[in-house]
Amino acid sequence: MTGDRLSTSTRRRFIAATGVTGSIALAGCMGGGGSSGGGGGSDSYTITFWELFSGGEGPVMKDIVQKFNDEQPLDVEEEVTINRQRTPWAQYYNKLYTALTSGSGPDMAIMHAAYLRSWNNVIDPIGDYLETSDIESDYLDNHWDLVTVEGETRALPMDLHPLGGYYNKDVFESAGLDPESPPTNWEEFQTAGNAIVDQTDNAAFSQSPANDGFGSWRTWSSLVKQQGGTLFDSDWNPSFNNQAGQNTSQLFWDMTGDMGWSPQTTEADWGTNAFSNGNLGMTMNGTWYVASLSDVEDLNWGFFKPNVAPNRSQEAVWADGHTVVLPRSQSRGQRKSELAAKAAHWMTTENPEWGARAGHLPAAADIRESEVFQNSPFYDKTLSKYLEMAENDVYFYQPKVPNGDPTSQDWYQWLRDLWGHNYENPQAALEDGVSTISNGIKE
Amino acid sequence: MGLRNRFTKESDHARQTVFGVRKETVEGVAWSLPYLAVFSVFLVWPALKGMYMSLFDWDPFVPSQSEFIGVQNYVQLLHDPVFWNAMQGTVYFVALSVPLLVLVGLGLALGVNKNVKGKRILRAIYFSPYILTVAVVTLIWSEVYSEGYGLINYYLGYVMDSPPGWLTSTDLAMPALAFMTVWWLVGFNFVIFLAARQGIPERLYEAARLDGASTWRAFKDVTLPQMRNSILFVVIIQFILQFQVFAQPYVLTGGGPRDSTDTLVYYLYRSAFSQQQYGYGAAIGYVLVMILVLIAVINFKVIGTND
Repeated sequence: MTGDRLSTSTRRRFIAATGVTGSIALAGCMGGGGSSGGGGGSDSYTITFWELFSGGEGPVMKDIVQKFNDEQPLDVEEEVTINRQRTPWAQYYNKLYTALTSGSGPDMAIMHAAYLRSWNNVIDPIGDYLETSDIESDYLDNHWDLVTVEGETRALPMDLHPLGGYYNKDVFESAGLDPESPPTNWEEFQTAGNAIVDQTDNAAFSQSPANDGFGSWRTWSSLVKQQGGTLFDSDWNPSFNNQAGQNTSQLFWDMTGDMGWSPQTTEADWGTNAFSNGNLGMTMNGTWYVASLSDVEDLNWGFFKPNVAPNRSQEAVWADGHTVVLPRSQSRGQRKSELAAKAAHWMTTENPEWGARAGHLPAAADIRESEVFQNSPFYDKTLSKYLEMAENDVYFYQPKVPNGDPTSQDWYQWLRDLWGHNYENPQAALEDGVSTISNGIKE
Repeated sequence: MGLRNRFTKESDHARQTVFGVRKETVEGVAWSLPYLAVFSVFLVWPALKGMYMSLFDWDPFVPSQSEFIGVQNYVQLLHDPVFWNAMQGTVYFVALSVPLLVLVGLGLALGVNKNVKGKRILRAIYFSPYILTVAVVTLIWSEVYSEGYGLINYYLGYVMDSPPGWLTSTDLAMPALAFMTVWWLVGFNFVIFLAARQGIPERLYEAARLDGASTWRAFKDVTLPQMRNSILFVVIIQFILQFQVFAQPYVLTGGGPRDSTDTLVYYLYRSAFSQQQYGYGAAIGYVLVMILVLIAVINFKVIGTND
């Protein structure tokens, strides 16, 4: 109610004050970040930053940005603030691309490495704004390779988040299995699954807790590669309608069919609910799953390496990485771009929590050796095993296709429908998959 | 002031001119301007731009470099099985939802119009889902329809061994989305129909009764003809709205299972914003516009109007 009866002089002062702050706000919105006002103060910049983290990762990223804003860790004159905006993954890439086409995108963004080729036209190579040769040694070689496409460093690597196997020790025990001996190969995997459905009321296996297309693809493609199958040929034509692809599709079909390992459902998050409720023996999901699982009370879970394909000829496990990119922008300006690149370097090299709390394999070499990372509550359970697989070089990366949206659910719905027996047979699903992904890449 | 006097004054007013244009016209245009401005910026301009885009292989970053391809996007649509599947899905959804939306709305309105107890509460109950946003509606119904944990299957579990997956069966998913949509939107039609029914003079029914008309006859020959315009309005509005169904499959089913709930607008969205084929997306939009115009024309012809 104070605003109702302002005296003329108060009103004038009010207008003058809002005028000044308004101008400052306006200046702040301008391209290079404006001065924070006279009096010899240094410049201030606000970097808009888009990310897509949910579940257990979301709070960790929030804390990292908060730490940046509080501690001002960059060794620069200017005050730099990161303004974080989160969008759920399902909408993230559509929104980011659309924003970039209209010139209203962020200054800095999280991007899966899988996009670094197909989205080349919307990314400013990070090397435009910092000397990549100075920082290359800060990262592990395989991570640096992950962000290098056609000889160009397009982003800074943040992590690797491979696929892993998760199992419920209590379910194993009630099926008469040793809860401390998860499966290491197909025979053990098969024995465990059959014991669970024979001896308990629980389901044996879910190909992906979210029961989504892309989640299914992580598991499916790993099993295909383990049998020596390929996913794409050198011209980016899908080549997975091969013997290994057919075998794996048949296996998925049988798991919800004759083997009776899981209900024939395409319901979203079926596995998430069943695993959390203790009604599911085994599943496969990425590194991030640990942060969600550790929130579930009384869930006695363990980890296994997902190298369990029948007729395995090699160890092979799906992986992708989060990277930090500077999207193409006409308004960011040179100095702000340099500061954003420095912020991206800080974000990817100085935050062991990203591994320790969010469960990912950090890209920075020093972090792997750091106390914070090695003291992570997940270190013995998952991280050390993920690291072993890294040392054994078993990871293959989500293919960096030349066009389209490589993590779009549309590309992989056929796997979900294969799981749910919504095709006449597994071969029909596989052929649909080849045609869908092939069209997606061509467009 | 006598009647004649007033009449003359008004005529004089109408005859006044501003720069040679009748003052009445100038005033009319002036009053409409704010609306026309908004209408032009947010509807006419995007519509024209969309038409233009649909003739190009559109480059969103450098529009000037877009390649003109004529009607190629439209030709490609005709040969695109995903488009035809989405078309089929949309028509199926409309065929399920629109008749129910109209008939249930009409039934509820005529029911509440009787002297039933608690009719004010019923009115509020029937209308209340309409005020919810589609995000809220889909969230609620995902809990209702869930195969393993849903409300419906919880109770069905008492009478059958394996209740169906409402959103995971290729046969049931689209009817489930349509039913949810009827629950959500029928309140709007209900209100329109109730107002129309209450606007029918009671003397018409008295006359019908005196002539010995049955309830059915009174409905057929008094209620329906008197409500014809509002029925026409509701039918057209619902056709237009339901043909644009998007959020229900987008949120609840992702167009699945096995593409059984794919729709035109959902495909438009995917083409433009996921596959970045803006020109192709615009072409889908224009096909939709043509269908809607055609339906509106047919509706007017079939139901007819004297006004």
